Amino acid sequence: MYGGGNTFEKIKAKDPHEEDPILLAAFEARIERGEKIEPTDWMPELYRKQLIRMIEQHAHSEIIGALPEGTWITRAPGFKRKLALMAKVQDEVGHAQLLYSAAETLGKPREAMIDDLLTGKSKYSNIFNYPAYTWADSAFISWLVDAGAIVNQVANSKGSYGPYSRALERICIEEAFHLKFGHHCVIHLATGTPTQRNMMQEALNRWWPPMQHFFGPPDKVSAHTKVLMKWKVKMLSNDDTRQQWLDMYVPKIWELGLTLPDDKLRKNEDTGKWEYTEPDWDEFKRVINGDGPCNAERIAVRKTAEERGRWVRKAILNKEANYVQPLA
Amino acid sequence: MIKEILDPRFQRLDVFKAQHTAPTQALDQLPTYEVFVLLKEDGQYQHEGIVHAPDNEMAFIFAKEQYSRRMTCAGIWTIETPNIFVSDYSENKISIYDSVEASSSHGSENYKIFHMLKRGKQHKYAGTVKANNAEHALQVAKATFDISKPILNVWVAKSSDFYESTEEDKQIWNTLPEKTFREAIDYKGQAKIEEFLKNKKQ
Amino acid sequence: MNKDALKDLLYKMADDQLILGHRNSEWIGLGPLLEEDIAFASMAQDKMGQSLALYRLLQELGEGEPDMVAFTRPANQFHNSQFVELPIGEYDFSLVRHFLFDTADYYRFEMLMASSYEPLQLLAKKLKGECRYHIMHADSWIKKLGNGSDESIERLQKSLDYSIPYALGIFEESKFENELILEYVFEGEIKLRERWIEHIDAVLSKTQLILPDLAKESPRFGGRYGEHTEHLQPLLDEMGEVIGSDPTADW
Repeated sequence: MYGGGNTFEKIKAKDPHEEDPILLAAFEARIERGEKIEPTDWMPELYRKQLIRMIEQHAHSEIIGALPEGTWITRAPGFKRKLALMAKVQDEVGHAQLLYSAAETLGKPREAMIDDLLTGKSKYSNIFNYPAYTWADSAFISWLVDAGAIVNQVANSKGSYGPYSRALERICIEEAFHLKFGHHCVIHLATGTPTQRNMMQEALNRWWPPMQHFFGPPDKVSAHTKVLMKWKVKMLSNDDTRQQWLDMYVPKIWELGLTLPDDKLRKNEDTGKWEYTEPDWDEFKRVINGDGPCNAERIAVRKTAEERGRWVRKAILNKEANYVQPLA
Repeated sequence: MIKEILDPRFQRLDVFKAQHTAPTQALDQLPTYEVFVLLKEDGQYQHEGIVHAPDNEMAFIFAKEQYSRRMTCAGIWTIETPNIFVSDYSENKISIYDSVEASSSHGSENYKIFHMLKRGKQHKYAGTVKANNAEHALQVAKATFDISKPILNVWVAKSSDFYESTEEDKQIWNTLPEKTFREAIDYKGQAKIEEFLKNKKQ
Repeated sequence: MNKDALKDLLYKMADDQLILGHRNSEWIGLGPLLEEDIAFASMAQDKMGQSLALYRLLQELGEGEPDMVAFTRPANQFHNSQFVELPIGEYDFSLVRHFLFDTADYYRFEMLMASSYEPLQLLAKKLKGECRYHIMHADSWIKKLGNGSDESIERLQKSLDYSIPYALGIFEESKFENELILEYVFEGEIKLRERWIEHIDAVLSKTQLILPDLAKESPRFGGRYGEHTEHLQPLLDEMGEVIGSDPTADW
């Protein structure tokens, strides 16, 4: 799962104008025709670097996302929920594996990406720095955070890079299960006992601000984002993603008699757009930069897992084996 | 600073001692294996992705759960990435075989041939040819397979370099169709919503 | 057919699978390698599914609804071996337990494919393939790490030495052992233990690990009669935390 947010800041790479004009024209013509770019094709440096960063952040978000979601894995109520949550969190790990693989085809080894996550050089989605206090928080994540990710991932699966698109197609199919499972849990809580219902309402109140942050601040349309849109790296603006999500899910939340903590939230029938109170973007920045409720825990847990697994990886390493970039 | 840890699993871990992980360079980097999956008995093996693994046997063990934990599966092949020979990518409508000379003389070694028909799609298994080397395999493939549609990219690899699941292994996928808890279809909630709305009106 | 004997067999199997499935699920997201994280998570789900299938057979014999039986009983009513309730520890222990337990599990189901109790016979046949993957996975890892680095060999040997008395506890006979054998429901723990030894010995002989002298070990018995280590009740409290907060609610 992954949102918008901080992915598209400018990065250091050769300006497209400095690229070979003939190769660049052929590359752009291919994208224009709707064809995919494959790993051995020529590509501008900016395209490669931007994709690596986007895909690795997406992968980090999956592997870190598995942590808040896993909070209730040992406490899930009953066989059906326990099996589903185990499978769901497992899928997130699987998605990380698929996404790291896609990024590897662009030339960055998986270990290097994981190192960058652990040293804080590379970011992940802001929303996973919040705690899952109750079973209802876990239901919120499964349904609504995954729903946000799906909007983004469906759009990105139509992007121009072949390996990333293929990974996303696979991921989207699995996310459909996450979404339905999450909704199923929320329906049961919302239509259940007063305690269950209250638990769900509290989770919604807690998660509303980070969920609005999830899609990222309104985009500034710079020359940089324009070129990324032309190259089909960035497929939707942050605001478009947020609007799509609001349109699909707010009615479903209200349908269950639950409320959302924003008095201004409504759909403007004239413009067809949702109106809402602007989220606190200072908090967003603070959390992205490390000062959220769970940033330290998430990285510490991930580091612990890496350290505890090191002897295993070391023992199975074949010194003669030769690491090359995967093919597709 | 780590605040209150909510996951009992993490409470049991000593995360407060988590070390700063120094960059590990190439140390942990296991080689990659390309994974091909046969979804159904009468289907075609198709490339699905990679796994990091120490050897072909473990690659198969890992591929089984990463690439066949849903729907059905009738077989998996794995092969270490450098063992695949990759042709250039041709432009649309031009077949890579256009620049290959067909050969009708066979060799002694089996080679598997995989074709990509469209950019963005996976490579699919076309068949096996007997040849002397990878280049020769491409020439034999031209004379052997139906290449009426343009083939944009070809992968060639020695059959002996693959780990292939056996006939007996097939039973490991037996219970897959029953694992419906991994499927969206198992979570129907509409009836409960309708009942809730009806009760609310009353 | 002796119903109490049958229930006793089903309970010990179901409880083993439930508790170990729960334990192994603790690794999800924390595994030593992404690919292994995924494989181990699948096998934990298989165990959970197998325990559910067994509780359903019990339900047909008049026992309670699976969710209630699994999530709300106190520790002294559980019939699992003590081995499966031990904390996950480091990956060497979890892997060695997986190897020792799942080998026994594989042969138990294989023997039950000839059971006179048809529902169990059918279930055993169905699960054979699933269990086959589990031992393929376990054997591959034991061979790999048992011939890996000095550290991995030392770690596995230590975990093996520690585990063996508990693993032998898997084969604790129930008070209905004779009935089960005489009625051809199950050939018995002694036979199972023989086949288990044969398999683990064959795998370990391909490694630098040494199987302790089993005759000198004293098995950790008691689990099959409701005697458990201090680890089981906290596990059950955790597992039942949400469902136990309102067992009448629909979650």
